[in-house]
Amino acid sequence: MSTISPVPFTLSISDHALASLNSKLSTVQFPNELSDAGWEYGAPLADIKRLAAHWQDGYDWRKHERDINASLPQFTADISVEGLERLNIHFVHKRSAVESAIPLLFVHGWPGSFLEVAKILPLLTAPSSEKDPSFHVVAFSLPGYGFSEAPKTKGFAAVQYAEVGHKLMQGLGYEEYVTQGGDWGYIITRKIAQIYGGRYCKASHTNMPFGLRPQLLTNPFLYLKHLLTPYTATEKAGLARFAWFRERGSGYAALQSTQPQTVGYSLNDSPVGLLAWIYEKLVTWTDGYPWTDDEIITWVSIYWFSRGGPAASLRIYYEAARTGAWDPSAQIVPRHVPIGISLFPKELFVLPKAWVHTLANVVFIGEHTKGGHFAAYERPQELVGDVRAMFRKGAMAFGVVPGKTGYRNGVRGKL
Amino acid sequence: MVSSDIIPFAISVSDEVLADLQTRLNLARFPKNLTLSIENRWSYGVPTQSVQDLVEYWKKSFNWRKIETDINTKLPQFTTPIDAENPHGILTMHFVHKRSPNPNAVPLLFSHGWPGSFLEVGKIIEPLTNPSDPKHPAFHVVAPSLPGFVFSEASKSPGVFLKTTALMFDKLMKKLGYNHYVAQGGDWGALVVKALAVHHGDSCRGTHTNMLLVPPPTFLRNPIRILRAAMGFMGLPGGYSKREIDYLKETEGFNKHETGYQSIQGTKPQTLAYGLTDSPTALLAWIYEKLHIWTDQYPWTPDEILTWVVLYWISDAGPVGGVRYYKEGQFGDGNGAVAQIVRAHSSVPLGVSVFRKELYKFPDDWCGMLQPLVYHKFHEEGGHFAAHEKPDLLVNDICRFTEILMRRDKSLLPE
Repeated sequence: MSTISPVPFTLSISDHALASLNSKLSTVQFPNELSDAGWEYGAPLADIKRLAAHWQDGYDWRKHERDINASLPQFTADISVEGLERLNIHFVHKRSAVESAIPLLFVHGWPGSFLEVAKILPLLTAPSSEKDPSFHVVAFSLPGYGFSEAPKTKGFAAVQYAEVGHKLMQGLGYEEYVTQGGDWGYIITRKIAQIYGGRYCKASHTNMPFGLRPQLLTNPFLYLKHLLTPYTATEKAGLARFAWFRERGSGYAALQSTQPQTVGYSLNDSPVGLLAWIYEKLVTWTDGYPWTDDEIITWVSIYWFSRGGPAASLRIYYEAARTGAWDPSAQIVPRHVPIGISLFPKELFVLPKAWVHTLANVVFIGEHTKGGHFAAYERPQELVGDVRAMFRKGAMAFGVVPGKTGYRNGVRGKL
Repeated sequence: MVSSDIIPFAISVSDEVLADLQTRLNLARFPKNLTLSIENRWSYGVPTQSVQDLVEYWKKSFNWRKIETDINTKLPQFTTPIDAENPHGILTMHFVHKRSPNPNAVPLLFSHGWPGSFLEVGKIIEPLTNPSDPKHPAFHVVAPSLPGFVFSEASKSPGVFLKTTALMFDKLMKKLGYNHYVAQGGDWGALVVKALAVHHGDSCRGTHTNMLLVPPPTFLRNPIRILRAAMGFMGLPGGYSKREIDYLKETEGFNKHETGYQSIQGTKPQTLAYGLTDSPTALLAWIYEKLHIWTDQYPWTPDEILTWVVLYWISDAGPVGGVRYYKEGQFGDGNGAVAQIVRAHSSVPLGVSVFRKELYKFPDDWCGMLQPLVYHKFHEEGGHFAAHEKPDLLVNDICRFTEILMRRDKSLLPE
């Protein structure tokens, strides 16, 4: 019942683009580094040199391109954004064999991409146990990322990204759906819940929940509970990580939120500049994930070869800052849209559990002892485990999408 | 008085470096721009058209050899080893040195900042060493490159910040036979001269700055100033004047919207440096943005802009030397080196010139809080690079300040 005529998409970067990348890689020159700098000043020189050499000599883009096309069924479709423009959107779409699977929109962030759905896709669409719900999954490239067109006008902020996600689901025939996201996916899925929640968006799950310290007047019960309960060791570690992120790890955000175009020249013109900019996050934001050189270069390549160019991906920071997307009021979810959260220890905002209830009606909390910011990629089993637990029979969010319980029809009631 | 290890220096970039630049410029890949109105062209950063035009000029019309010869002719340069002490050891310092024919000339140290260089002394060195009016004071001028900038060697160890820089500059002046001198600086130079006042007040007898940084008053220590600020904001009599309130508003605006570069350079300069080292286009955009937005309608020629950029490209340390300096200074750390210098007292007399478009401007009575303020001049024009934009005005201010100093301090007269 799709109304938007999706066109099958095959990732196929031109030989010319590959050759031009190779010319740049063959002339790369590196800055020096202070002795024993480690990670203190940014991405270490030895790592970047190794990755650049591999990118030039050993890395086989065509192989990875084939793998992506084989594992991720991709399409494009035009979506019109009210008052702004019509954009051609690239997305992954895979239906479950279970007809009444739950439609789920997966929303990535920066410096991620549609690739982040790769490991959870088979788990969501085809669980091995009949006890687990199934999902039809849609994962779009945010406008300005991957192979979606980039906006040409200013003002394309959270509301607009939410609109694209929502209209995509509607256009594919998923009138009612649930969402999952982290990083910008968190902000955008919250926005979807605020604008389209209840009627269309029935529930949402995030692995990067935000919350506010409970205040006496607004959340008296939580406030008292928070006052009386000491922080656990995990919560203390989380607050320390949040402080680290704010004081030492958010220069990129300060820059991208104010003058994104200026650093965009570096990301567009120097593959090594782009590599370092992203690699630093892939390592410092994850929990000891054993990135292979190929994985890193593939993630970076999506940005290098992206339709709008790497600089376009930064503008979301600017637009979001200008429209107050990070204000608490912009993140409050109406009570009738149940929220599930997963807490991974190396996420960037790791706040005390009590705080997440200040912004949403949280019906599910999954806690983990390992994992970081790119949960779907680092800990796919755990993340999918949480999403399944949130929607399975007997759970509070079971059956939120009428007629699409995630189980074969005819199987009703609680287990 | 002249050491044998003070070696005359001339800039001489190899043909290979120039050819390599051409190669990189020919491979340049530019980010696309949003469609923006004329008045908003710079709101996301440097507009693509401006960078493309400069790159075209760089490829086809920029004659570095001629400029190199001009610089070497007009600005007599030298290098000499200076002991930067533990753990940095002996580092080569590059500097301009020009003596006045006037036997009563006062030694003057001129300190540049980022993204400036020793070139900033170019327009003021002649009127300072050879004033056309014999009644004006004359100066022996020394303009060193900051450690890690251009041809001053960078340390391999972390921790070259203001104290070390001031130590090195003081040693340089003494090595040149100037046991008492006046210091002038803007941007980092403002902080360097403050460090000289704090740590080397026996030799540095007066500091003049065109960018005074002061710690904000607190309610406990300076209640009157807080009150005056509040009253001024409300437009009440007894508060600060409109001019001073505008200063505070503009300073706040700068802090909020234009200090992303400080955030990244102060936390992860290495990550940033890969792109700046590998792509001259990236470096051009990164620097040109400041040249444009920090000046007061200064009619930069393409030659000027590219010369300033090329100096960073050909630096011994490369562009990373300049950006790493921010992290060395623990810029943004409330208790870091920069904050300590800004908060420190000194009995060394201070002169302040306030140019209209400077980035940091404060109410008049904040300026004398930490040093005895003996000269305070306001200009209705000019911006951050005062020596380059308004050389006559700055020279006049330096002269007036020095005259006041010489009446108080006989040590500045020749020994």
